Amino acid sequence: MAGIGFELRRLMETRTISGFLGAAFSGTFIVAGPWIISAASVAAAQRLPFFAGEGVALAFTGAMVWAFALSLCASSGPLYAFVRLSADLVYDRRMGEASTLLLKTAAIAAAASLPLGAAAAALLAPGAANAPLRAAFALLLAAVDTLWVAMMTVTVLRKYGLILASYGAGMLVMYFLAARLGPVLGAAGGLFALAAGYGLTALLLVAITVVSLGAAPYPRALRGLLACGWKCRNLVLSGFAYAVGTWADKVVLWAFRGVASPGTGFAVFPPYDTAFYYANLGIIPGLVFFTLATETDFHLDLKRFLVFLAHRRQPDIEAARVRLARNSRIAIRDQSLFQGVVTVALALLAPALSAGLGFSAPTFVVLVAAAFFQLVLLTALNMLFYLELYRDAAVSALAFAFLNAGLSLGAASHPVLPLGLPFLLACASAAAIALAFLRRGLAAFDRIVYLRASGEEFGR
Amino acid sequence: MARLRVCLVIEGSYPFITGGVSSWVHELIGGLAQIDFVLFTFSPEADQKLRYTMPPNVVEHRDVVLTKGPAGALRRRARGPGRGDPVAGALESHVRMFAGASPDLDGLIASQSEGRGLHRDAVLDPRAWTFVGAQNRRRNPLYPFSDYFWAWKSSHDLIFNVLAAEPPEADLYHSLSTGFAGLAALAAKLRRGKPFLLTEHGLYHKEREIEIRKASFVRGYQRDMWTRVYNRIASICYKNADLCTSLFEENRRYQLELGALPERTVVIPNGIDVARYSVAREKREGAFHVGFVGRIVPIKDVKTFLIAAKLLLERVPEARFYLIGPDDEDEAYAAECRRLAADLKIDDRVEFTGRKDVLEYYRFLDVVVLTSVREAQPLVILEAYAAGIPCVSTDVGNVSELLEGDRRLIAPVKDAGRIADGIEYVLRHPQEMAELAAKNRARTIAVYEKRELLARYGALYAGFAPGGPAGAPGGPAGATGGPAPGGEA
Repeated sequence: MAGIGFELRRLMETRTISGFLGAAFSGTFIVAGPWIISAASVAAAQRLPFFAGEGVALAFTGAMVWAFALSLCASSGPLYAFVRLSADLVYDRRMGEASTLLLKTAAIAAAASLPLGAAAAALLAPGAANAPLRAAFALLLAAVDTLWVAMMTVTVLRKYGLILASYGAGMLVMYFLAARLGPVLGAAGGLFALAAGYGLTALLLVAITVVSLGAAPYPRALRGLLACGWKCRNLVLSGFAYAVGTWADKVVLWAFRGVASPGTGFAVFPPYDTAFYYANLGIIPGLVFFTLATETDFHLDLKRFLVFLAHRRQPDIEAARVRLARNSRIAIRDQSLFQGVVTVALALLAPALSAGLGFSAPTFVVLVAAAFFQLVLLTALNMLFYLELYRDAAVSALAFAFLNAGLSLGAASHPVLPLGLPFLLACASAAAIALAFLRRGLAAFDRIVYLRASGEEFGR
Repeated sequence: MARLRVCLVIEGSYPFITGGVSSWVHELIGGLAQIDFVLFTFSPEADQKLRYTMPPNVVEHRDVVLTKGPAGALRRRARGPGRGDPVAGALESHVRMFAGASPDLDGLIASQSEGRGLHRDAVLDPRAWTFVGAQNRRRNPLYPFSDYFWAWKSSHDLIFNVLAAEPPEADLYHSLSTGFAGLAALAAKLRRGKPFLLTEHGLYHKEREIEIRKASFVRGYQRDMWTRVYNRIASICYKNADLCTSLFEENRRYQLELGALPERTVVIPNGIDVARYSVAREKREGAFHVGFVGRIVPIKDVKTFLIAAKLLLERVPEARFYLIGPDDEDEAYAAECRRLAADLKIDDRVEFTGRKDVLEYYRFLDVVVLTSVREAQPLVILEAYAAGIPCVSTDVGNVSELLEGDRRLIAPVKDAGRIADGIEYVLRHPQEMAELAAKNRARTIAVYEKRELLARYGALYAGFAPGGPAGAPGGPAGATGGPAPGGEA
């Protein structure tokens, strides 16, 4: 996302209020646009009359949340490898091959998701009566997995308007299909509509990419992807562990305290899930700050440092390294201050929000605090990825996953503990670990670069 | 009684590349059939084509690719009693080596297992990084750090690879140069407790220095570092060899300057099979035949020869030129030479013969020309003398002594005009040249006869053999009153 960061910064550098507001608005829309459009559309669809039917809303929400959780946990790791390989191709100006890689990966993602979705659905929603729900679940999983893949390459084009338009078109189709299918198939109809909406969005994004970049033969795309995945296995592990970490507390709560629509195992725990959902929206300002300032600053400092490393005298290199470390620290601090203000504001507003949105204020406060640390973790992980310190990123992400899963399991037998506390502790601990790795990596980054240039896969 | 087993340690020549040193080695092995030879060679790449048929007394050949170190993970501390920390040992040795002090080679080599290199440790270990940084600040304050790092890395990778190479078993390690071959022979001496004999044709460190100064890709401090590395390795080899032989006195003096002990140095000139080159001469009328005998490679400066040919043809249109030697070692350069001949419009007067029996040409050549930019004691001049052919040459190595300082026949390096003048002088003074040829032939028989060379090396080897005499005729005792085999001064 560093590319859009630079474009938005140019807006900000006009030093006008309209420029600043424009950058902030555009940043928000680009960072969270698809998310907001999807959420709003689903919320709108859930107001369709058929959702009022008994168990429909619960079955729909349960299956949708499970599809997202399963999709992220299963595809995040391979997706990171795909992003890495695509980035390498784009860097080498092999746009046509990047486009072909996207096509093939999207096809594989869709094809692999269908049996996975079918298997999961068979486990969670057995019985002949649930057959439409199972089919819809498998299709939704395939659509969502394909959408992740499509989103990764399309951002390179910086055609953000088209991306949002694709989401808009997909969600519109979803809404109208839901209105048609919902009354006939109930929750399954809603899921079919959502799958179609996401599927259409994914197709549009793939088409935009292929039309923009062209397609060049890349016969060994799959082999390249596997090789990249193996070479960057710690990156893949990071993706997997981070996704598991993000969902572990929810899954534990679903298992121990969740409710499911009769005849299905798609359990959810609304008091927690709703609070989490809204708390998570609270990191959007921080993400925009990250895109506009933190990432672009870091990118520039890192680039300057690498140029110094190749061409300058040792004292200049050491000064650049110190500057990189110091600026990174300052950037994370500023971003945290900004997000801290947002967090405090949301915490203060919690009682008012909880009444209207249907969650417990204390849970929301805990989760808003957790979101703060999760943003720090995300930022540190992202910087570790820039430095290609994948091993450190993987350890941090694994700590996140294990801590969240372990603490959540422990807390499951102690209902007196505030909801979200395991997630808060896991986020804070993993963020601290990632920051420590980042600090260590930056302190020795000149050596690390030379080691890699010497043929050592140091830290990868 | 077991046959003596001599390990010849060779870098970048025999048996993969033809040339003076390779011919010398081949003749030596073939001439000493009573000795078993083991080849321990260091090559820039794997699986090179053999250019020689191995004599039957070559009993083993172990080739090490210089740029491919033995696999080895980072080792914090070597295992086994008495073994220190290999990285600390290596760094300490580096400091001593480049501070002008004698490095603790025993310690360095003892700290490494054979077949496991320090090359990775030297960059992976944070101490090595700190050390490289400190060295860079001291030695390379004005140039980019990357210059220093890559020079350090590449030179030390090679050094550590060589030190970790597992030497074959032998009674004596005989290196044909300093540099990495010399270092390997020295490591073998320290590992196996066997003597180390060093024979130099050219001066390896001087040759490398010239290459480094000419190489455009070696920048800034890298030049100084590489030069220091080669000089220090040469010095270490001279100081630690049980005997250093050189082809001529001037090179011996260089050895002494870099630390060789006078009593451990000896001059053993090149030798050729005079009878083989004593061909029946047959004058081919109607043309003046000029020969260039050697590989078509840059070091022979074939382009200067071609320019000299062009200059001579303007004065002597009947001249014909023969470039006799393999042209497949540096095909790009050979192609450039052919293009140059065409551009000079002399390609109808110049023949690139390729690899041919040189005796066929020695029968009718009127003069043999050498335009090399670097030589030691060129065999081609001795061969021409044995065949009764006068020579014109650039002033390199021992040429001045071989041509008795005759400035009419010696030209500065790359001076095509003086080469052409020398060839014309030979053409215009047939009587004088006939007398000179007879004199040169007699001197070759007296001083540069292969039998003598073989006898002296045979005796040297015998002197270093287990249980052999402390000094052998022609060897250290005969020439200098040298040391006991394998012993230290």
